[in-house]
Amino acid sequence: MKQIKFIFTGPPGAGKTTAIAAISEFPPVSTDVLSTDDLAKTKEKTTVAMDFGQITLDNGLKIGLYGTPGQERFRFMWEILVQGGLGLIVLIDNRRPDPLKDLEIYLDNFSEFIDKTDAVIGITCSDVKETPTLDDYQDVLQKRGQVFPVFSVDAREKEDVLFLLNALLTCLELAA
Amino acid sequence: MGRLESEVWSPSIPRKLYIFASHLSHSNVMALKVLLKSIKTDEIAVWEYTNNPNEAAAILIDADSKEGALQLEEWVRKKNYQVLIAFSNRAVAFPEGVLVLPRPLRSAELFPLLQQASRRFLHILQSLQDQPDIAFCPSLQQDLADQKATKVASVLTRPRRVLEILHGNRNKILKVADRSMRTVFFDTEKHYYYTVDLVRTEIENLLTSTIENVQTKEIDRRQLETETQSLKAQDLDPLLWAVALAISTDGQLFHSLSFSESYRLNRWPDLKKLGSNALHLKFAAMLRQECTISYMADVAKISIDEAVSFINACYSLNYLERQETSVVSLQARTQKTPANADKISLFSRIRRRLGI
Repeated sequence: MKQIKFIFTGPPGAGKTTAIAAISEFPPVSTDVLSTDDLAKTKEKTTVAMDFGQITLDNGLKIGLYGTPGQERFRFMWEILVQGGLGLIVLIDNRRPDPLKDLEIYLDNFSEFIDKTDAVIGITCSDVKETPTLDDYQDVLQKRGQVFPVFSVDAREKEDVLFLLNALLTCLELAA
Repeated sequence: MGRLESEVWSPSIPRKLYIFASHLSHSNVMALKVLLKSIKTDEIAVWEYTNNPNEAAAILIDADSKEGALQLEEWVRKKNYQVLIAFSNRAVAFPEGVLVLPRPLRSAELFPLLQQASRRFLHILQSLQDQPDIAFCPSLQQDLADQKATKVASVLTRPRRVLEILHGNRNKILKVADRSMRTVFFDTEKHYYYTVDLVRTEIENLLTSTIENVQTKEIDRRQLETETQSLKAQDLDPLLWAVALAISTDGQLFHSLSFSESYRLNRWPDLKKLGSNALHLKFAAMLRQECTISYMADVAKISIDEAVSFINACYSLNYLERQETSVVSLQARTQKTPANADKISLFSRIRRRLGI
């Protein structure tokens, strides 16, 4: 599990698997099962262990792209997955009942990892549901005394996922 | 309160004047304070140390430090009333009017220099008093100074632009009309603007023009709704961002910003919407912690003008917080351990692979 990797996290349906697929050099290996709870209304399958994608660098080094399972009941997996992680990409689905709360949950749950590395936040489906706005997310961060890059993204668009990674890498480079 | 004329310096009564030190090391500030106490009173003035540059009659700046030199340039440009003293051993010509105190700090040089500064300051004061509208001397009469400060600032500094007026009126709705009475509504609370009369470039020109060239009126939300019923709301942030960058190419900071202060982002700019480049991302990442403008330029290895542009743009959109410059923390950042070469190499390989 100590492969160098980027971690994609966020609630179910936020687009983690899709974002990994957008940049991975092979279709992500997913451990999906049929959704059985309320989630089944919006998402046919959900990730229970992890998603795995990869990019290979020019020196042969393989960088993992790991997606955590979204549901909190699988949080025991999160601590295992972050080992060797370079940074965190948090994806938040703007259509969910309380996406601002979702953001806080994921920042809290990964706070130890974020302290050691860094994080960037992508808000998905803001074209489907306009509120909360990016300003609302920024307000939440400001109250927490945190400044993270926050952008509205379409997880299906490679450019958008790269934009998030670019911001994350810039933060990591300055801290290195 | 009596008028300032009644308080005018009389040669028989030494006047208390204040000196402020900028960018001096802690030990030099301590030495300055000790020397000021030990220097005998001269016939013109008694000098005391102050932590408030606005009440100072003279400012002693360490012009051998990069930030101090920049600060000195800024003060020279602002043409304020204070006497500027460069603390320096450099064999360079300082701007006209700047006194020079050579290192190290010794009473033998400091005493005659302060006498010179006293005379010069009182001369400036006298000339200001001769202009009834700007009679002003904070170190002599602070409460009067408070009343007049705004007026003096407007006399001594360049006129403000409409863009800066918008910043000063955040969370308000302003109706701004140009000389031809063509109107733009700026809703700074909801970050929208509305117009039927002007195209984008004309609005940009309006924002960069000085306030004398426009009519500005605050309106309430009901009035806005009435007047903009059929107009499309347009995103104000990209407009302000673009204009702030465009007018900052001369390296001048906007009003109330300063090279001597340090800044920090209170939120990350939406660079996806505003139009980003690698440099802006880097600046934003730096500004997650407090830093000065010269630090930003040093780390990014670019001209200070680029850093000024970014600071001005962030200021226009209220992304910026001023920080009390903590010398210790800034020094710690400057003197941090050398960059982790392995990590930097890894990150650049990832960038190459992803094409970012």
